[in-house]
Amino acid sequence: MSDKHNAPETLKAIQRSLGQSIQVPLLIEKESGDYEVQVEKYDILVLEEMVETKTLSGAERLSTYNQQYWFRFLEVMREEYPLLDGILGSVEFNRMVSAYLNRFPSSSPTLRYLSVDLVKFLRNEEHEWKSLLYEQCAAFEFAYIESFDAAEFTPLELGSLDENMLDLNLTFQPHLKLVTADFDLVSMRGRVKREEPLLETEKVQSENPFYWAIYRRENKLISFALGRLQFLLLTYLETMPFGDAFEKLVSELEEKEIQFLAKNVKLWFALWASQSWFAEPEV
Amino acid sequence: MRPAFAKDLGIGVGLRVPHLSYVFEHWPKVDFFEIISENFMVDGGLPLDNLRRILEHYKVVQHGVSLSIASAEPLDFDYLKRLKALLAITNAPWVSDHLCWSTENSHNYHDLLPFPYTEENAKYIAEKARIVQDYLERPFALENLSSYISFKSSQMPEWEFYTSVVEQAGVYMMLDVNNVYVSSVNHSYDPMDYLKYLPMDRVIQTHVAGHTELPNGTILDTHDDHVKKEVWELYRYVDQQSGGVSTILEWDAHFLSFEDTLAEANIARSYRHER
Repeated sequence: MSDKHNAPETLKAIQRSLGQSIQVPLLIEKESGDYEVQVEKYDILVLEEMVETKTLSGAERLSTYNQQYWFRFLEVMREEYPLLDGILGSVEFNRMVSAYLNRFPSSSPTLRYLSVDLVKFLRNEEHEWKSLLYEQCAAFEFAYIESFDAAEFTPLELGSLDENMLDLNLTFQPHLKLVTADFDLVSMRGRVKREEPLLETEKVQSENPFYWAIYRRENKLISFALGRLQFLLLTYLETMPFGDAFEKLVSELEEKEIQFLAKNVKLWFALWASQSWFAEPEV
Repeated sequence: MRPAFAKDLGIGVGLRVPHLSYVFEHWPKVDFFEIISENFMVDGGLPLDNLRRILEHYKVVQHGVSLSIASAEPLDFDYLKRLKALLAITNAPWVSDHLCWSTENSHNYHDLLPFPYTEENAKYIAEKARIVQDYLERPFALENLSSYISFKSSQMPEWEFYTSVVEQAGVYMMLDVNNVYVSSVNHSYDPMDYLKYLPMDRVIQTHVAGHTELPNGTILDTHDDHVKKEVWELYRYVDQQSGGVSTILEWDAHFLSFEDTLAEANIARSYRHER
């Protein structure tokens, strides 16, 4: 089945013009957070089409949609990024989100993926929110969004790790997300959710990175702290059989770490399997 | 006369996350629920598990917000495929979405946007609505939207446009009585002119909801308050003319307890008893 008939040209033109107008950014004042609509930037075509009322001009009527556009998005982003909001403060958060959505407007039918390009924006674009903390925080909180409603395949029943598994290509549950950061984001997010103030020391880059697996268990989102070697092994397992992943990791380690790995790998594997991180391959 | 598939399911409420724990604990008596389709068009996790639990106890109808049928862009068949897959899970007797547009040039505005009511546009949208109904293999209903702007190039009032689209397409009406009221105030017309024009045999479901008046006089369709008296009066007329039609209360912000929400919905029953 297809939909090949063409839309009226007048409909295309008015939708283009109305769309341009309602996404004109609100001017958010840096200190107070007050905002202004920029009606002078609305497109002329749609302005000339607007029916005025006794009390409202066409531009004033149109501004209802302009404001709703931004309020809706700011509210959704604030719900999805409590830590980033807590770190930036609400006014800066609103300014950053406005700049992001101005650069990367939504193309998804669902508001849950409004922020799909946020990490890219924070990492690659020139703006005043260039910061490793903001970027890593965005990646961390997006992992929660992705994990929440990702598929869950039948868990793979595994015995204990032995030599027969060296050629095994493991499939991870789609809701398992591996995340690393230079800040203790789990602790910080917990603090924000409990409405406690963040500590300035928490915002300083740590000497040792943090590693987590974010996944779903009985429909609850869990952030599970990993060691560096666990994280690296899991990362390699995403793309290669167990034996190759293990060899690759060993080739990067010092003797002391190799001994630690050898001593613990069976335990780790059993733990991961017990959390159902591995899945039957999708048919 | 309404088609046989569109039997009166009674009075229900829109299923919302803040009420789920109460529903799962008490399994209250509710004639039916309406779900927002997009909230469940996901691959897994809590939303789908919750939906499966609801379906074990209640009838469910599906209501969408992202079809964007009036967009100048072609229909999104990836979206429709996922919608159809969800229908296979819910077995909803019908599915609805809005007579509006949300997408332009691959940009999703996540709003229910109006457009000029012209004969050309009615014909174009009716053709798309027919395709949607055929593809979904399920009765499809369009909801009248609440709007805050109107266009000089419109050639007819909304009620004529709405009727023209559904009749040309052979689809149905999901009549939002609150939206009729909201738009009638925002565009200064008599809501009874709207309702009296509609072919009631095409109306297979209604919505009622609360709204908010801004200081500048504009009324916003906010679904965050009790249904206003004026809206219930319009509902009375629709109920009498339709002989009783499946009714959903929408409440989407500043939530009440589930019991109070259901009590608000059940006000509709008092109008039904007048028949």
